[in-house]
Amino acid sequence: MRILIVEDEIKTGDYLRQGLNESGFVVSLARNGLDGHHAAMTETFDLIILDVMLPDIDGFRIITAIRAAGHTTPVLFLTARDSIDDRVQGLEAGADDYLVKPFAFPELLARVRTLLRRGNSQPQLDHLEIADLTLDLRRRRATRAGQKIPLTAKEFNLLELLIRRQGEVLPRSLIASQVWDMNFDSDTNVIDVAIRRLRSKMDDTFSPKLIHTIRGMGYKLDLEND
Amino acid sequence: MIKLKHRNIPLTVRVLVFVAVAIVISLSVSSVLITNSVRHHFAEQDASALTRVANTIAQDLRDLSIRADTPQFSAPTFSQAGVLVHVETDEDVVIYHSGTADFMPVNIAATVNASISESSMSVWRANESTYRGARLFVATEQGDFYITVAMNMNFHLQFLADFRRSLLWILAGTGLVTLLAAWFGIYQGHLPLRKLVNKMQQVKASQLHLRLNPDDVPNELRELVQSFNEMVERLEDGFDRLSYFSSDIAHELRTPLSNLITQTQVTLTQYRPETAYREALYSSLEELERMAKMIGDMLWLAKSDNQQIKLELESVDLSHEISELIDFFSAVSQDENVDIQLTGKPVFVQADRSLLKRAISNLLSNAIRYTGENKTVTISMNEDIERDRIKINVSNPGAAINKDHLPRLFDRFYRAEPARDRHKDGAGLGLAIVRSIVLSHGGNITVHSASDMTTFTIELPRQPLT
Repeated sequence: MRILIVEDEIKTGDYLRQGLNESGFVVSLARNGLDGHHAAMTETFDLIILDVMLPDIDGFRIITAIRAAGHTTPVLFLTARDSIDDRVQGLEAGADDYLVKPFAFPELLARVRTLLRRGNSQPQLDHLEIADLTLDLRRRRATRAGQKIPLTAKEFNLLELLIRRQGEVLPRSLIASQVWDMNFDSDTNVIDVAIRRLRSKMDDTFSPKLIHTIRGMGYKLDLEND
Repeated sequence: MIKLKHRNIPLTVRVLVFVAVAIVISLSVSSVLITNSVRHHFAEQDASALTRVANTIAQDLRDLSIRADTPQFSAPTFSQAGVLVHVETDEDVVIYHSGTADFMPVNIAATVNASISESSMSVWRANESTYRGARLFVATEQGDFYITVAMNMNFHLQFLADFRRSLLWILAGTGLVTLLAAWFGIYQGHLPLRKLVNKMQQVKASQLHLRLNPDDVPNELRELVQSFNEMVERLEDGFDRLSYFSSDIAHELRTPLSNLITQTQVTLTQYRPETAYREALYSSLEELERMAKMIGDMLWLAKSDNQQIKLELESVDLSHEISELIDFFSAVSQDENVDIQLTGKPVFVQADRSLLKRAISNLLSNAIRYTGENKTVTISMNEDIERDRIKINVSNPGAAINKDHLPRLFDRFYRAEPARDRHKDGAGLGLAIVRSIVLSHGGNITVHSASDMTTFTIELPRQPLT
């Protein structure tokens, strides 16, 4: 997967490149609008991460040019200004998603994966499986090692999200938004408690452990914790 | 050069201009009236003298027995009164002419007056003098006569000119004196204003506690002083908040920062296994995340203070949103063995859904935290149809909050119990954010704490003004 990052801030650009590289992407970094525009028009990428505030050509103009040239590459907007107008303008210009700076890297990674997945839609599955855990999506039932696990509706949704995005670190804010539709920062430890309760039902008495806490970032469901 | 705009003209000048115009108008009117009455008086005097003489002559003419006789008029009588007489027959034969000078008007034939009065007299010039008089027709048994009586007006005119000149000086003098008096009056009148300015200048940023006494100034300025005092009060309040706020920020950020620095320094003092570095980095990350969240909240509050938060209003089904929140918190409440109940009829309100949810979520998480085990948190919704407002109460049983804390509970970084665990409680911005959200919707929030129940009440207009 090739990703183009257009970002003029040196430090941000560097850590984005390193972070995405280490997450298995091939990353090109353009440090100004002109280079970014040129790269986007001449090369093929699976995703473009575009900073709105650039010293030469701003992000709105680049995306307008990309869309005008007929490229459908998904674009993730990075906006420093937390204003609705900016978001609306970005989305109208053809951006697929936006992220307000400063953002947490796991949040960005989660958005990037969502956008990349959007292109090639997942096949409609009846079952999700990892290790000896099985989720019956039709009957909304979970079994582990042949044992039926009683889950509430939200717990099932939570587990489904974790399995669908296994191997990804999911920030608490993303979990709150996807499972409970809470799109704001909450002071509470609700997600931690919910994960703990879920673990007690489907992880604590089983092996191997599937849900892993990534301190300071969020949670991940995977066979192995690295 | 300073260009004076209309509103920049000094008050003194404005008033003086008005006074000057008023003086000029009233003095000119009175001088015209005085001059006219003097002139009128002279004319009346002349008329009566001329009438007397004309009547005497007419009588004398009627008494004449023979037409050819030279009439004997009592000439001294005329000249004593300064009256000039000219008598002629209808055939232009002059029978009498007093003095030697020719005082007759040029177009003598045209003028014949019916009688002598102030208004019917004629004025003419002859021989470089001005005369006023009349020409009368007298019919007698001896024949018809024309009598011309006149008076030299030079003296009167001279007098009038002198009179007008001195009147002008007098009026100019009194005008000037009045103007000076007015100026002095205004200057004196502005004295309290200048004193007030002096006092206001003493109210510096460091002395915002100073207030002006409204009883020290004239009635007209009392309102100004009161408004000034209120303004200073607001400024003082803002200043206090700002200085509390900055010291709070410094305090709240300094502690975690110095923790981070110390921890990093200690970690680096000697070589450690890789897991120790990871542990240090994780711990730093957690601390940094907390600080980032706090700064984000503070920025949000600052924006809200400056009315920079845009509300995305929509019709919000309160019972639906609250049920979702209760569902969201169910894991925590079950963990703590706390029940949450929603009462009241379904209520709709125009609000920013996400912000309103955040506000209620903050209250709810507080309520769960301070409720004892096996107790119930109650959320109730009410409508006040009369005032077109809605009410949301969030009540939790638990120890009452001390009365001293209540007014400051919504202040930033305010904690009723300082010893509480910061990591668990957050930065102490939760209730401040709730208040900001409620205020930005045009509502208000109150808290009531009795022996065993604490209730937060949000009141919102059903249709916020935007």
